[in-house]
Amino acid sequence: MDTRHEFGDLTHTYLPIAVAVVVVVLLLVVGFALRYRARPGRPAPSSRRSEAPRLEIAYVLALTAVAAFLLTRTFPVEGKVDRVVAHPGLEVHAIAGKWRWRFDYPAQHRSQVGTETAPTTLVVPTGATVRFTLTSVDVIHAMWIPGERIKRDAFPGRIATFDVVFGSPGFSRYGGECSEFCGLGHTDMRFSIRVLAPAQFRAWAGSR
Amino acid sequence: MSVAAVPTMLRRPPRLLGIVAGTDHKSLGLRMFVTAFGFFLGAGLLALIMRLELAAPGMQFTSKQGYDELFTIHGSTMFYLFATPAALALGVYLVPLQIGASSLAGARWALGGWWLTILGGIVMWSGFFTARGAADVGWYAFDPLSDSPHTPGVGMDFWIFGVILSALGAILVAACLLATVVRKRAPGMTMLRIPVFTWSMVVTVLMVLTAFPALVVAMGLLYAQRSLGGVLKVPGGPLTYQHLFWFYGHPVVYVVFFPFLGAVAEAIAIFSGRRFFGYPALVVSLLAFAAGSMSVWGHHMFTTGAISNRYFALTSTGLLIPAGVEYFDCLATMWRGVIRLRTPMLFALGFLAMFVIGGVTGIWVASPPLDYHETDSYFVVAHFHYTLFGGSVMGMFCAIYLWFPKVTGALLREGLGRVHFWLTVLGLNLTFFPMFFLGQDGMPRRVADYPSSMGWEGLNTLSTVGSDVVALSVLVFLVNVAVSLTVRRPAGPDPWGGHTLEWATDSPPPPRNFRALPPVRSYAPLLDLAEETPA
Amino acid sequence: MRLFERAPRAMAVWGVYLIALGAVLWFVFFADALSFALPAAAAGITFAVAVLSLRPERRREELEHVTDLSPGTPLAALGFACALVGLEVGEWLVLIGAGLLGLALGILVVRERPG
Repeated sequence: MDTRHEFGDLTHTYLPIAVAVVVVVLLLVVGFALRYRARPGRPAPSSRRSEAPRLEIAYVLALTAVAAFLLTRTFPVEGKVDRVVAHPGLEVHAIAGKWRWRFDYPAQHRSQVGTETAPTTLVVPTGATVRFTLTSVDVIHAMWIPGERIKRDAFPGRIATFDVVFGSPGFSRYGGECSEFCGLGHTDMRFSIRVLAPAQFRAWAGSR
Repeated sequence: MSVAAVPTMLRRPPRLLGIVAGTDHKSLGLRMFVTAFGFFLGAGLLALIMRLELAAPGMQFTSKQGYDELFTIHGSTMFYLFATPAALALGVYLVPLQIGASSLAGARWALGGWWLTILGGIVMWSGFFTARGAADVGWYAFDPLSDSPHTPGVGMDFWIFGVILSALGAILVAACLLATVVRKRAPGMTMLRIPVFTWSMVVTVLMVLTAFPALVVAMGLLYAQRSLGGVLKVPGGPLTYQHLFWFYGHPVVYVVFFPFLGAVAEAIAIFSGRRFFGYPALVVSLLAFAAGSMSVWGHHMFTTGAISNRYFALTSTGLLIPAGVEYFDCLATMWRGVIRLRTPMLFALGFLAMFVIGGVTGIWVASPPLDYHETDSYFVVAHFHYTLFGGSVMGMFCAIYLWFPKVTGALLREGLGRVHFWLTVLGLNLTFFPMFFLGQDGMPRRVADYPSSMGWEGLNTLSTVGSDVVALSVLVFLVNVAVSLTVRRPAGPDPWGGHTLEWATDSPPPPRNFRALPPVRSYAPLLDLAEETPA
Repeated sequence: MRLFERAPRAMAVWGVYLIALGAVLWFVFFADALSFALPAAAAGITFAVAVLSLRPERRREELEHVTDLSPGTPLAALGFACALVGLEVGEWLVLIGAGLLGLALGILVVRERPG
């Protein structure tokens, strides 16, 4: 699943609404404060009305409609992002442990492990559905791939399964990170991501 | 009433003993608030050190170990020792006054609750002086990281004890507040005539009584796991801990929000010269808001893959409905009013303007696919600081400026108050707005450092400068308090033209609170009187 | 709005709403038992509090025993805290805590006696 694309799509729904709400509230707060500010000519409020049940009910219905609209956009995207396909293009077993990542490629009989100084590099082909099965050997970690807008928790004794399709080839500026605090080395628990064209990936996989 | 008042006034306790053991709700509420504010200053200081460390890439001021302790104790202190006790302290002082009662029900239990909280704070902070330092696992201390193999040392155990003590303290105080509202309302003060602030306290204490026990259970399990083992080691143990923790951990953000919302609502009504608009809608929406907030804890666990994300997305997004009603009511109260922009009103308006940013980003992260990216990043740090600082702390200062004259009998300075307000607005936006972009760009939370190659230095420096502005604003506030208490400008019983009963008695109120109560025919009894007598 | 005119009823309504939200989670979204047990337990506490609030309100407040000073209470809190912290620090602190707690209860009982 192209999680980056799905995230961007959903953002296009949420962001304008969020900005509009903030702007409207700011305008109303500042506008009312100036418009109804106490002045010598206005000793008393020009309205003593303290209830408008029908208006409030209509307003609640409008708010409910907004919430419902947001959810109708969120649920399908969530369904797509969470769904795992039957036949992924590549399987990667991601293992998190304090404070290092290991990526096993069972079909390719390869394993990516970092060193003290160099973080682990995740190598993936572009365009293919990459199936991650994620777990931890000690505490809870989380695998975050900011470039693809996706994250999953890594629990000890549990396996999280999710699909990611990586976009353009090259070294990702973002790389990947542990985003669940996991102790002293949390700050440095990063990994690099190298996205290869399919042919290059096959060559890399066969090179051992 | 007068029969009991005489011996109370005759037996003036010795000053120190009164501070330690006095049960008068006004003195107790004030003492609770002052100690909570002390913890606010302490936790704020820790935040300043963190911001200094993050201003530039590389480790400059702290070690990684030290940084972990800083953010753990910062968050823990803010929630367990400052925000919750401060919110409840407002209630302890004001609820009896607002409902026309002479005392707090079960005041000795509330006194005990205050002491448990203080002792909890002392125990938690004493972790800094233990061999391995204070707890360093974050304010929610997920198992298994918080288990003894990963986090040995007595500092972590002290943290657990501190949390248990403060949680029990909060439960005791909440029980007293609820009993006071149920049992001690003045004649004519039906539940639908209690002031807006008191309603906000009612839903707050309901949440404390129903959600905080889950925290005590979680802490008990965690301690048992650390010392005996095998408790959370069962399959799903870490998940069980998260359920228990977040069942407390989400409602608590509303526990530290509703009372300040109530204070803001009172300020808006007073300084607009109008009865609060939509009282019934507000009451229903507060109750719905509270129940809703007890049903959204799973949105902290979207990325676990172990819960029903759709249910929690539904309930979390649904919170925009009661929140929207509250904004509507506040704005409608201002509509066609006569607005006086005194300091309490400035902070009330600042609350509305800043909290909305935390609110809409809250709806943003209530969407699981968006949360998959934002959770545990600086985006979330920005989001909840807009709710907690832009919302709760702004609201707290609104409450302080509003009720300081009642509590001390002296007015705070308006000029310094305005400086305080504008520095707060500037500082908080400089501090927290850049964090949205940092998080969106991939900066995880709870990191002591970041690679210089990411280009995050500029925004982080900006944020650090902002935190110094916030610190300056708090200094201005402290100066304001010192000046106003030294060169006093007497407030009189009702400096603002208040609507509720606390303004119908002296400032500060006498022992037993009232000499005579005005009739109560609505939730704004003093406004009723003012509107009856032609000007 | 009548529902909220009395405190116990308002609480009961709130508790029912909690249960309803939990029931949706349980029956519609097939959550695990714990996810239902949490709101159910919260509703249980709410109902218990509502029932406690049903007791007739004491109108004659002036007859209530008024203490404006309670030295036993901070002592009790201190004792409890010492006993708890003693679990890690050592038995001696548990014993001190227990002693303080006993002393505090004694003071509370003595001061509670009218006259």
